[in-house]
Amino acid sequence: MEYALEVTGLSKKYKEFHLKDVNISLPSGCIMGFIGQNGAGKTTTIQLILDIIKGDSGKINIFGMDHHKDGVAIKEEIGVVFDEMGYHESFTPMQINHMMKHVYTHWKEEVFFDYLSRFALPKKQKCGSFSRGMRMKLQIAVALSHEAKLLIMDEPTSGLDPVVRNEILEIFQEFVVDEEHTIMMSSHMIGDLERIADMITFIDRGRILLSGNKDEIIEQHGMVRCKKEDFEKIHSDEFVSSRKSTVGVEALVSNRKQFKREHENLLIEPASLEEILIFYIQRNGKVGD
Amino acid sequence: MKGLFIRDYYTLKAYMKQCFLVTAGVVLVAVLFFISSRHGNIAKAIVSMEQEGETTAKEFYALIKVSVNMILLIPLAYMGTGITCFHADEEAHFSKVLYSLPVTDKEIVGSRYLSNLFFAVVSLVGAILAGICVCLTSDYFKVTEIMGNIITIFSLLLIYTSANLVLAYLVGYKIAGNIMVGILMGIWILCIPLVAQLSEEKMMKLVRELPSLMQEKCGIFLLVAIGVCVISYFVSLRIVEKKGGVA
Repeated sequence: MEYALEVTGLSKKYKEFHLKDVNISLPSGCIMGFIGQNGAGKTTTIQLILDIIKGDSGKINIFGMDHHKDGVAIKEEIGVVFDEMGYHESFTPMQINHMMKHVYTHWKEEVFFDYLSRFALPKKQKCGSFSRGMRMKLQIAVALSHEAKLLIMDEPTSGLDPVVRNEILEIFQEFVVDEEHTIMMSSHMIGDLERIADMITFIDRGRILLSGNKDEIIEQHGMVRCKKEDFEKIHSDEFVSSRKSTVGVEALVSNRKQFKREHENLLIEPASLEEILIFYIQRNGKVGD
Repeated sequence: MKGLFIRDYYTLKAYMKQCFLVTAGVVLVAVLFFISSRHGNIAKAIVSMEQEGETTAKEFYALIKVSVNMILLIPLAYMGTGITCFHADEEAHFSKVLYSLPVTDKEIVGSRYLSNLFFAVVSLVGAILAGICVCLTSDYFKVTEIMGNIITIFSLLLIYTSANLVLAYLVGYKIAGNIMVGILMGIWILCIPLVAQLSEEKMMKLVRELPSLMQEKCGIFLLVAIGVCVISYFVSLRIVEKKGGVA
């Protein structure tokens, strides 16, 4: 399998935060949802991948190249969208086009202007007057206008209204349709990722809790809802974590089929990504805020 | 590098307009000053001073020369505005975007130096044009004399800008600005007692001779400034390479 992104043993220590031994493998042609709470380490991981900050240890390969040594060549192939715009508020999309034309070797002016029309972004208006949705669209237009093969995005849909979010998600799906393009997208909006992601990586308190194919993760996990006395018969190794509920106890199990075979009398239902995330975070020692 | 230079150019565009307007204002003030010195109240004052004695008139000429020289240097004050690019970058959180672009550290530092130099040259051209206009309308100045003074001040400001850029990369532009102001104030405070000790006669001599000294040594000042600027670039590059990224 060809990987667009491979992260091995990545660590970065700050005073009050430690990103520990992060491993991520993102096959080409996939959309990976990078899920975690605020402060879980999503942005730090993305900034390390982009070489915006320096890691303490670990290896990052993008399209088989070392992210630090071949930084310039790699960045030609990457489109980046941050949670905030990053362009000077006095700049107009026309000026950004002028700048990027001389930054990216494969900058496609006509593609950029097409996106501006598609997103209804005025070419000569200062970005400072743009709404949050318009600012995100402008970043996406830039990211998609230089023949990038990998899009790395940090919370691109947060704070957007459902209509704009839907529009943006459709563009991401269009981007990967030829299976030559890849997306890594961090978000805490699980619904968005549930809709478009092929792969899911959960991160919490600087640790990767779970990473793999989204459908397989959903298929493997299940929610058991039972009375307290039934729950007490279940061995602690058989579930990820549990919590009290109105009917008794609900617990997440990581091997639904096996659990069903061993506990035929208990009702087990498919788990949503949100439930899986919450129960893993709970096991990791912290309930989501 | 060109793309990043364009980014700085757009950031500084508003200041560029200001610089042109100020240069035009300076030319206007200087020209009006000389019209007055030929046909207006200043001309009358000169005539009455010449009647009083040669020394008084000479001192008055010297004062006029110094004042006009100072006015002509105003456009050079815009040399420092290149540093505002750091402020604009911080305000826009541009650093993240910058380090996600396919550019090397050399290009990042080089473009910032280039844009500062570009602005310095624009302000220098403004001051020179103002100087030429003054020379064309007056008999008091020679072009070489005015150019010498402008180039000397330009060189000193280039040294200031180079030091400011290194400090901006080292400790951030805000602290760098404070340090530079501190240094200038320190020099000023040291100069006050020295100037206070001078007699009126010596003071006038200094006022008369300072422009010619600046004119004579302008080549040396310019060479030193270029040297400092080149060293400053390499030091800044080293700082950026060592720091790596935005953190």
